[in-house]
Amino acid sequence: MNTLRILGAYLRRSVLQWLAGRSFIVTLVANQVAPPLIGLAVWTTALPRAGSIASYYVVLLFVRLLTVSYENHTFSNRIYSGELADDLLRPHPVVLQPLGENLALRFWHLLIGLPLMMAAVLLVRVHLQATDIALALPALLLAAVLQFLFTYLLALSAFWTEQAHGVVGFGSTLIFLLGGVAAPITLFPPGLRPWGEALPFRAMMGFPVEIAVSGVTQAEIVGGYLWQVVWVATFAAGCRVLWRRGIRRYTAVGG
Amino acid sequence: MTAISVADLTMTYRTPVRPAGLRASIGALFHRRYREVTAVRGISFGVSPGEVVGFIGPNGAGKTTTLKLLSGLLYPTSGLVQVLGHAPWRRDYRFLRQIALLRGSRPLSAPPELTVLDALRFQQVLYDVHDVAFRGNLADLSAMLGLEPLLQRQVRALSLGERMRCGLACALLYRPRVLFLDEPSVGLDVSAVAEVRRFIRDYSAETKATVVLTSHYMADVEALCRRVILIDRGAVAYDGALAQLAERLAPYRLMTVRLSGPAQADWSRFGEVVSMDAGCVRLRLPREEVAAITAYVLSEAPVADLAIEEPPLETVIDRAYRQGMEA
Amino acid sequence: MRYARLLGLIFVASLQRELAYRANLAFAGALALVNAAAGAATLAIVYGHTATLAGWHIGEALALLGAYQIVSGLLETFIEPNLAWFGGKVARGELDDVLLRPAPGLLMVSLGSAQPWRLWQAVLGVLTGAVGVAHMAAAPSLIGVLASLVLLMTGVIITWASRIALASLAFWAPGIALDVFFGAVWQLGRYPVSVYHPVVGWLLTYVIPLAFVATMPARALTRGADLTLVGRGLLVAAMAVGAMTVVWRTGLRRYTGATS
Repeated sequence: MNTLRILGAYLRRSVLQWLAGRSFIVTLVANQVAPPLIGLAVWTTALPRAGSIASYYVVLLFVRLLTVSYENHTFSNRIYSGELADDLLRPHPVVLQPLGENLALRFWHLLIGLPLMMAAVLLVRVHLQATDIALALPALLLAAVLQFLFTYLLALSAFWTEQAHGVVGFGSTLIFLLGGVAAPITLFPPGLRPWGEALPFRAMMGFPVEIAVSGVTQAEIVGGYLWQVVWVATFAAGCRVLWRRGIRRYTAVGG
Repeated sequence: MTAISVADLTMTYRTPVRPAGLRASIGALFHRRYREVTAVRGISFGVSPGEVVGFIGPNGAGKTTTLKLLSGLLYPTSGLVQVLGHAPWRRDYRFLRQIALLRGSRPLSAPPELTVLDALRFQQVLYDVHDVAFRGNLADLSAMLGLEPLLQRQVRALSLGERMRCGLACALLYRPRVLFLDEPSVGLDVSAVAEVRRFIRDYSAETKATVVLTSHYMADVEALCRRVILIDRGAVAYDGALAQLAERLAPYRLMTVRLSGPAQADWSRFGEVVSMDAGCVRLRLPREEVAAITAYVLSEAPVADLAIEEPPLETVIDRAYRQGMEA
Repeated sequence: MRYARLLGLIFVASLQRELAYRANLAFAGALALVNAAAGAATLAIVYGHTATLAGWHIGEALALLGAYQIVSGLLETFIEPNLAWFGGKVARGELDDVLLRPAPGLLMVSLGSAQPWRLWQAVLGVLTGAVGVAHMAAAPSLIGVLASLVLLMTGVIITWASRIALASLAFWAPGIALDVFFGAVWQLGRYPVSVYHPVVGWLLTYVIPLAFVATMPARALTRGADLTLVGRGLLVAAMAVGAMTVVWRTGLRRYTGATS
């Protein structure tokens, strides 16, 4: 289909562009791995006898790099700089360009973060079951999709406010606290665990990790998948609505 | 079928008023005041397929706003706008595949590390141009724009003139039926400007594409457009042939007299004196009186040489912009 | 002092600029609140599972978080707005008009504009610190509080100096953008340095003195008047300023200005 070919063209173009900027991506990777590494240090100090928590944070490293999303930079800035006008003249959905760039950035993050991840796996002596990994893979895919939709949705706020970076930052804080980065959801106080499991943040970060380190029961896995699907549908619809409203506003005020 | 039709088109913006001073700024936190700016008010015109039309007017008159309304970048406040049978603001992909907008300030928006050929291939994918058509169009454009030496160069290594040529190639690769050009000559050196003008003239003659261009350089408009629309303070002040516009705005001629002997004291009884130095006088005369005054000057003054010319279009338009249009 | 007045004017001008965008005020406050709550909530969850974290009780950890937020707030208000993407400014020659002004280039470059609303974070840091102190097993002595404030000040100076030193690397390699990297390492400061691997802890005390930003001021509150601690802090601050000045001056000699 033509749309896929266009997406492929944007992806290829972004991969080449970021090849030139790979030293900057090193600093971005450092910023992305800092919270899981800090979490690793804090929780292994707090709970020295809990074996799986170290593995949790090492797997989280990988998931973070795979789900990285900077739409406030790749998309909101286009609205602020007026470059969006170029996108509006092209005969394809505008989202293809930030999506292609998102996938390219994830590719580079994983590639550049690979040595660190391998070192962490060896140092922490992570042992994962193959079945757990297999069960976690679809969740991983859904988490990657969900985090893009979530960040893109927040980045669309640039149509209404100059604080899009702050809005996306707010979303990052929520993912940090409620997505299983500050603390695994399994360690939440019992009253708050159901909230943690229902909210979208775990679905876009911690859930695949929990599956991979055998932190959840079968029933919980099914429940988690259902929540993921629900949130993907919700955010996809939200993006459509916000996009329509936003572009109507953008074209009415001249950008 | 008209290519472009515009009826009573209006575009109004609301911008916040930002006060000066710390106290006023704090006050503005609670009472935000807005002011309405009407960029385009009730303009109407039609463009036939294959026409080359120039929009001229002072800065801030609404030319670029009109262009954005025609290409779908702006949603009109009221009125009707149709291009190739589509409402541009709907951004129908079939419509977008038939138009191109090129800005002189940013002719090429490809990433700097990629080559020109990469950018063209990218356009091919975006606009779904078949390989055969791509090769054919590229060959034509390459010949007309002299792209051969540029194809393998990186975008960031191009001069502004080269960027403009590559931008034109990217915009025309998919043979759009309507081409919008916003200040195409800005920042270009003399030879680059001549090249671009030549290209646009040849291209539109050959492909019968409709071209709408805005420019501050009268020379662009003179070279390319038989029809000119003058937009002043958001409204159409003139729509017609360029020659008639000059007549309307400045129904006068310039007379240059070179004297063979001592000059008369008072030349102002012949006409408005533009300049007077040793041996040379320039007068501005109403068109109708040229013949009579010429005879008068020849009989009264020691004339060595006498020339009559049209005022340069630039000065005419400049005066019109500054003094406003008289209805 | 003339410089104090200058900085005051800069702050008021920035405030005026920001007041033009009224949504920013409420927004920045809300954002700071959410971030502060997230930090405190994380500590609450951790301390739900253990009574001490590397020897620190919850009150002390909150005080540390408060100190971290105060310094972060000051960094983001006064320093970060000027030094962000410094490499780009050097490459494009944008330092020219700053360096031509009759005030020390170093001061103008690092403090030339401000983002007033980031102060919310510092305010919340004071609050968090106060809550932490209230939860401490034993109330800190007056000398402890004074020592803590002195160490907090040295923390601010060390932060300012190291941020400039890092940005100055751009004079040697304008393409490099280490701002994000600074942010990554900075995050390590929100927990007591003893939480990390001993090697990392050593690095954070003697190589990149991040420990002096929050860990030391908080430690002064709890461990009382440890004058060697204050002495060390002042020494490190002096060394940091010295190192920064050297790096800045040498780098500035390489600056070639705008090309056209």
